[in-house]
Amino acid sequence: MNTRWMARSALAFVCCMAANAWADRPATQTERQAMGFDDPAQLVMVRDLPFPADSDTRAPDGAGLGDEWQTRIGTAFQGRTGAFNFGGQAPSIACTSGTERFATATFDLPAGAAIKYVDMFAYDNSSSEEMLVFLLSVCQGTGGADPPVSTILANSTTSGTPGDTVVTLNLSSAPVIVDRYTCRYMVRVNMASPGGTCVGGSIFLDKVRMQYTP
Amino acid sequence: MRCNEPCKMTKALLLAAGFVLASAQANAGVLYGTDYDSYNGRSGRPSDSLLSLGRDGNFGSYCQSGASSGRRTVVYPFDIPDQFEVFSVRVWGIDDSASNNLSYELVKSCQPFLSGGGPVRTVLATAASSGTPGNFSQLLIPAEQVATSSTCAYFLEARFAPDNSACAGFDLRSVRVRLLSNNPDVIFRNGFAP
Repeated sequence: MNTRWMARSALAFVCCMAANAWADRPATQTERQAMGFDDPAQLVMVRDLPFPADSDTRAPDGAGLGDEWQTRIGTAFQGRTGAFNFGGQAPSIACTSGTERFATATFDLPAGAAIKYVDMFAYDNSSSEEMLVFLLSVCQGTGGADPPVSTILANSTTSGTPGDTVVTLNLSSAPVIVDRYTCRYMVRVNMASPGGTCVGGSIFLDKVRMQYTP
Repeated sequence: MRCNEPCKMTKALLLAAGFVLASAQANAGVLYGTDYDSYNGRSGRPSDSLLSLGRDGNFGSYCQSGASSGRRTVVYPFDIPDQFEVFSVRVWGIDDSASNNLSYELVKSCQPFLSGGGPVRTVLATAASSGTPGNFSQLLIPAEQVATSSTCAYFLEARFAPDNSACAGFDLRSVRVRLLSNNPDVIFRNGFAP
């Protein structure tokens, strides 16, 4: 067994792992409902992170990694439908009434950027509801009439009644590489889960920040 | 007078310098790292779903709400890269209202880097229309402000009326917003990154 063979085997193993890393699966009905995909005809996939999260050092100056940030304030999030009732002082919004609780903001990252972290800054003082956050891509064939495929790349939730809090989606072990040619990238929040009825000022979305390597 | 070799070199250098300067004028801002971002008035986001916004034929927005509950502001979020300097924001609008003016606040909102904490708003600059000038333009210039995009967000807030009060409708319009910022390291940027 020579060195070259061992190197090839190692490379094949790594490639195999990488391929597995990106194997998406169809979203379950529960996952679709949590994210606000009500149309059963809509293609929704889930990407499960295959590796444990890295323990990168994070710092406001990028910790020497050359990382950059892009932020969407709560006010920049648009309701899934026109029935989304919201209010608050910028940059924060609360879902003020009704059952339409989904809001989304699109991010505009450079081609080839590696998305490593998504941080949601929020306020949660509701004992009945949590706020869910999803990173998703919406991709479509480049020239044909294929339907768009939405993929949940990562998700998490607030927990309990922490008041001001941060929820982090840690993608650092397998960063999402931005493909501007076929995909759009966005963050969606569900501001009343699991009950489904908005709780007003008990839950606020302040902002969502992406940390990426250009 | 004949031009010898050093003279020719000097001429060539002057010519090259001339091209550089002409190029700099043709692409104003590029040489010194200045970025301009323009926003249509109607691209602003209402801070409250109770706000009824109208759109004019020139991509401007106006507030249609009467005296009812809710805020009367629209927000223009800015994407300012880390370490860029925020030079100024220029706003354009139309004020034909005798009762209302259009007022603006350039706001920085900061939170801890990786822990919970409410947003802390700092108003960096303000401006407002006054009287009934018709078309107007105002400039908001903050004190020296280097963006820290890892912890702070930047936006402009335009107010059509006090909260819960009647707006002036079509007589008061936000037409355009332009952000002017400066990349402090235009040559090397992020260590030769594209």
